[in-house]
Amino acid sequence: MKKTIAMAALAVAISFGAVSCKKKVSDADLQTQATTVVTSNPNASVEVKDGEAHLSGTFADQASKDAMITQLKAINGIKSVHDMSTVAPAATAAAPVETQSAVDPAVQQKVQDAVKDFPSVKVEVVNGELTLTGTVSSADARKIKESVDALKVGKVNYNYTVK
Amino acid sequence: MSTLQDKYSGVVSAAQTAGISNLQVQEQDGILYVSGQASNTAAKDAVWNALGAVDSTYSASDINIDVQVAGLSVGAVLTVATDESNLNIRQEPSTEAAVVGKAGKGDSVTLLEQTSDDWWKVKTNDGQEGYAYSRYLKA
Repeated sequence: MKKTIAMAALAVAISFGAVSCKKKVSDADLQTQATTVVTSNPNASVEVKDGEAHLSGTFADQASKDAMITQLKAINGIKSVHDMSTVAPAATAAAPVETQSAVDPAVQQKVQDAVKDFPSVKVEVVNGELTLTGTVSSADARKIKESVDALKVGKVNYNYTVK
Repeated sequence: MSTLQDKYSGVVSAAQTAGISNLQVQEQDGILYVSGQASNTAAKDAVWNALGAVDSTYSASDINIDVQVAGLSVGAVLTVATDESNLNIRQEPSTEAAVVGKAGKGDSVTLLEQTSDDWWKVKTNDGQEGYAYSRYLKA
């Protein structure tokens, strides 16, 4: 009985030993597994050397890059991941739209230029927002919006009656 | 796609179809900003026509379209596109400035400089130089 327990203990010890030896997985095997992970991004590639994965290429965003690195690290036998990849400059991460103050005198002059030909249109700044009132045709409203939008003064209230 | 981008997807696709360069579509503070440069008035108009399909009164506050005709060469011939009246040619780029000449509806003028988005320096057929409001010039 004691012998059996000793054998079992030995087996457990050996199996632990085997686990600790998992780094012996060959680079070729690791390369296969790593490549399978990376195929999800056609713009990226991976190379395994001495159990270390070298990730290169480009990613659409940081999150997808981080996710892939996590997946690579999860492969049994990969000791570390060297990240040489880059994140593509996203168009969505463009600088914020620069707006001007509606009360800026230079802006006010430009607004007056924009509505000069439409005498019924009144321009006011209400709570910092440019507010236009009056009665205009749809074509006139378009002309005014074309000019006023170009000034980028933030929210503009086109509160006129459009005939 | 956000609700705003969805609402104005026709405007954005019109801008793409019209070949608007440096096209930027950004949402900020509840306003969809669509900006870029058009090579001629027709391309710019295509974008605004698309807005009309969504907002027929052109009164929407949740979209800002800043598509400007840009990159015209000096000497380009522009057509005066006023509703009916003559186009004022002014000494300075402002409606406050003195009127130094006029150009009739449908007349051609020559571009001297795209001074700003809204004022262009032009030369009329009778040789008068000055600034005209670009909204009334067709390139």
